[in-house]
Amino acid sequence: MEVKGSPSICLPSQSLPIETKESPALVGFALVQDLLNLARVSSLWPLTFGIACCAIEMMAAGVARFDWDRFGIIPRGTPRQSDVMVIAGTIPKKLISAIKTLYDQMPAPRYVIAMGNCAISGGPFSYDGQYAIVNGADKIIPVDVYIPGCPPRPEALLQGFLKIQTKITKGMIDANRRAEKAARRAKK
Amino acid sequence: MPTAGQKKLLEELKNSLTQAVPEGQVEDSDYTRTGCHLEVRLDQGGMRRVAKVMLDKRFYLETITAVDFIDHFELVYLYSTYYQDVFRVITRIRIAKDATPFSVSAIYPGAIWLEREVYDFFGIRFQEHPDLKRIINPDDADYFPLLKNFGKTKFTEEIDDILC
Amino acid sequence: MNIKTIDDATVNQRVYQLNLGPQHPSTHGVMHLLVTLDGEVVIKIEPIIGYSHRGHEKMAENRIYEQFLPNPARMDYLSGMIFNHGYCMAVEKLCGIEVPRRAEYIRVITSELNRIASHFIGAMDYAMGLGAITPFLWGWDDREQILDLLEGIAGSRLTYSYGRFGGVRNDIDQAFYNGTRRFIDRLRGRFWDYENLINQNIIFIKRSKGVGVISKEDALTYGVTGPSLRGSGVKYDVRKNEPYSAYPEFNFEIPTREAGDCLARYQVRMAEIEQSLNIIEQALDHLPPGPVRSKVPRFVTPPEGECYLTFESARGAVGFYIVSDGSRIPYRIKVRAPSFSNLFAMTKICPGHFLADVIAIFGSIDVTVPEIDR
Repeated sequence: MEVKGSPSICLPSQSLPIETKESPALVGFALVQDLLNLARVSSLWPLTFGIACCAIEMMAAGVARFDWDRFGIIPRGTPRQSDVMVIAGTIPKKLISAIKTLYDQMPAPRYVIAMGNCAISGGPFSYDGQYAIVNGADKIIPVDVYIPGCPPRPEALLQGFLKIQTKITKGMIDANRRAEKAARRAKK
Repeated sequence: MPTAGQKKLLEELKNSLTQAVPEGQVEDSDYTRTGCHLEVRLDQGGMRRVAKVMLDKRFYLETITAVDFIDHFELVYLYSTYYQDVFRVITRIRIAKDATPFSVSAIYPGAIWLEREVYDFFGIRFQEHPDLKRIINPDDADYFPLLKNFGKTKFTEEIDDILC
Repeated sequence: MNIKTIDDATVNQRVYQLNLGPQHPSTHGVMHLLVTLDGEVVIKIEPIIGYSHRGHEKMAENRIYEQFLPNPARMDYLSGMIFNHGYCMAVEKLCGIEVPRRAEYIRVITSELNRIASHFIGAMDYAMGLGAITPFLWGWDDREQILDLLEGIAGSRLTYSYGRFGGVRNDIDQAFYNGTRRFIDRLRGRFWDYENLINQNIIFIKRSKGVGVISKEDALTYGVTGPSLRGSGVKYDVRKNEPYSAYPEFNFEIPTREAGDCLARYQVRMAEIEQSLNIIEQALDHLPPGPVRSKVPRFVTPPEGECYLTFESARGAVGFYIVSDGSRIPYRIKVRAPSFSNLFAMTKICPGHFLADVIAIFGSIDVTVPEIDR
């Protein structure tokens, strides 16, 4: 449901705007979850974890020209303080356990961006007979947003972050996670 | 075209190398085609004697690698120099598939990693190497990827099973 | 992963092991350093590499020469243009292909631009490793100007496939020509700022002077090349010692420093940026007319044989060793990675330093991890 005019924030699912004929909605009701999500989107803290070429573009997105601080994106050095993991590069098989450990160390709710073709599907390094790499980050951990490119431009990474913000405010990620949980329970 | 300094060095080096490895062939190489000035061919062993001569002449070890020729390996040592006119010496050593050549790491410590890399990718075990273990591939891997007959092995299949 | 935990017996001892990485903000990629410490002093350091291994060399044996063209730029992504041209030169040498002079000049210009960009990352990341954030932001700002120029002609910001066997893909345009001229002026005006910002910073000097000295003897036996070697007073640069492409036609110097410490390596990098600007300026002044690509068959088929070609990347002497069996597919391609040897030399110089100095030494050697692992 869309709320027009002031206040301009768009509260997602379950909100009940009070409407009159003349004026647009002034007040919205929301679940606590929605409010928390709204707080989360403006301070997404990615983990500084670059694997290969894409890491340089990730750094470029952080400095002068692109400056992801504008979106409240501040890189953190430790997984325990961060909530977004940008998989920037190819995932060799030797690195699987490290990535899993880092993902487990991040506090929930956590989001994952697969940056670049290597993290999506193995990219240019995927061929019959490849022994060294994993064909895509989603084989190891759940991925929320995929950004194609080899490497993607910093603008594309920012677009990816905006996409994740949209997904969070719309409650799509929560819904996905709930569905995953339910599926897992059903499996057991 | 080789300079005068290079020609002198070439002759000196040829003499010392022929003395050090009388069983090998020391030949001029066409620099414009191969990128090397001098080529030393050996049937097996002798890499340490060559390395000693090279260190005396203040050459540095550029790289060590191997080539898999199905029925035998060829170990390739490339030496070049910082100080004189540029000069590159390539040593090719033909070894059998199950041979255990000697390590040159006592002469060139930089060879420790280079030989580990050769072991990691070809499975060539170097004798008297201080720390011969895998370097790039996982420690528990059971394959040597740059062998010509390398395909899927138990290790790679297991990991693929876990992932998919 | 090779993480080692401390058992009860070792807790009470003075000597313990510390895992630095694979995820660490100052390891420039996925690098795992297993450091043995006595208190805060390093006794032994063992880099564990391979976390970025992608099997480039095996890939080369599974595709034709042209298909391998995008790979070299992804080995050392910071000097991708230099690697790209280097691979082309190696195949040209193997096949005996002539390259037009204009193409050689364009290769030199683009390579040197790429070298400046790479040195900016190397030097400014090093400064950031020591706690200075501002130079990092400034350096990346200057680097963005280079990326704009290269993107204009090569179409990519980082991983270029601009070189072709027998030349380059397309000619440079007027926008690139004017832009490069403007960039040279702009950068020359900013050297003074960098001088003020970093070279006179007391913290920077104290943390880098006399730290991590590589002696000439160590450099020789470990095979160190590039700015790390020139920081130790050895005047060795493939561009001068074994000239390739159009480099003999230009007038430039090889900056060296005698000290061999982290500061010297940093100073060599900054001095090399100035020299690269000189080369670019000379190349633009004397850019010859003509085609940028010679007539080469659609698929090259080198004769049976092998060749070794070496060139100077931003990190040192890179070598491509190609063995051909006379078919369209390379029999074996071996890449001599300068970072590989430079990193191993670090295990020799680190013992005896404080743990904090390991970060400084690591930053000053300036390695790229996918180049080590390939």
